Amino acid sequence: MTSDKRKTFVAREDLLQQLNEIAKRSGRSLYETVNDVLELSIHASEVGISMRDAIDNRHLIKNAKEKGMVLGLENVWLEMADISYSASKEKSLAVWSGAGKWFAKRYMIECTDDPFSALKHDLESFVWNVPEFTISRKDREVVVRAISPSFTEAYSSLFLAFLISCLETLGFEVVEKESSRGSLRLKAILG
Amino acid sequence: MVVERSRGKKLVYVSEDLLDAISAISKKKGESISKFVEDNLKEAVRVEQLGHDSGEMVSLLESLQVQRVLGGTFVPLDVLTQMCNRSFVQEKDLLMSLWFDSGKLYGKYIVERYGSPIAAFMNLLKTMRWDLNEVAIREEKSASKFRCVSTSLNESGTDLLSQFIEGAIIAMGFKVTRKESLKGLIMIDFSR
Repeated sequence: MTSDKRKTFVAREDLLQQLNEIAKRSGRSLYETVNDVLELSIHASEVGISMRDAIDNRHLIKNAKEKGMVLGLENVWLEMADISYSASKEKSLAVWSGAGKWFAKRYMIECTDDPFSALKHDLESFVWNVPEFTISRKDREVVVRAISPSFTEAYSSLFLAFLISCLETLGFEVVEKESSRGSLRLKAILG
Repeated sequence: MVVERSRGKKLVYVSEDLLDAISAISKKKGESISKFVEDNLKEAVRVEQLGHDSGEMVSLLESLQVQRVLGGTFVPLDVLTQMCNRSFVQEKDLLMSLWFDSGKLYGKYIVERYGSPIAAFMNLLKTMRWDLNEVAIREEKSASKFRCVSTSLNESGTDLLSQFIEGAIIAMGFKVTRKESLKGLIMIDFSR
């Protein structure tokens, strides 16, 4: 993309100094480094993203990977959930429940000071496809609500099983639960 | 290559082509060229300070953007694996066609949005499925050879993923000339 023709441009001195250090570390010139940054920024801008978003989302991806999540298309995912649920409700619930337990266990081990807050934060980031997903806590009581027009009845039940298992693993006792097509809700008390 | 100094600002050489492109983007956004340059230089420094690679991050974000637009969602890998197994036994044909159509959707979107669709698809695959140990394409005279290896994929998971990849390749305007999938290994040859 870059041509041999050069123009001068005014930029902040402190930024250029930092870029100069980066350039030195990678054995390149400041000119090459600045041009690489701008070329990448143009490309990002052309596809509608910004470097700031990239930094923010880098953590989400890394975190999801560490927590054993992969990305899949929602409609395929929901259809598969429906098929396996209608074939064997108990086995499907057990699989989701097991996944919830495993998911929460990691927070018990890695975030010993406040596993609940860490799990809440991550769950809220991972369920970006759910238009309304809230986990609210008041003292010992936790209420989880999810509303999504795409949730089938089976998927609501399975996701509820996952969430129940997460909370139980963290020491909560589920006192209320309900799920239906498009929504789920549960209330739990810390035991 | 800094050539002049004035009140906390310095002059720096930039390629003329890049400045023209930045000028067009800035005009569209209704902001100054200086703001675009400064914002992006600042973010580049931040990326470096965080120990990331800017190019890799843009690829990653591109993939995430595709996922958000097309309805991608995070799923626990072990649940996905077990559900693939269970539902595959029940509704193999339906699932194979679902995954194929899903691949087609990604392929169609990518080909519309990106100048190098195959490269964009490879990035997407690496981002969405980090359980894959290897995702590669080898260019040969008459065909491109796609290869994907995973030690954790079971047979049904491999078959479904191969359908997804085939669907995407076809939707990007290629013809699949050979396809082979074994447990944990997918090989697809394709040409224009």
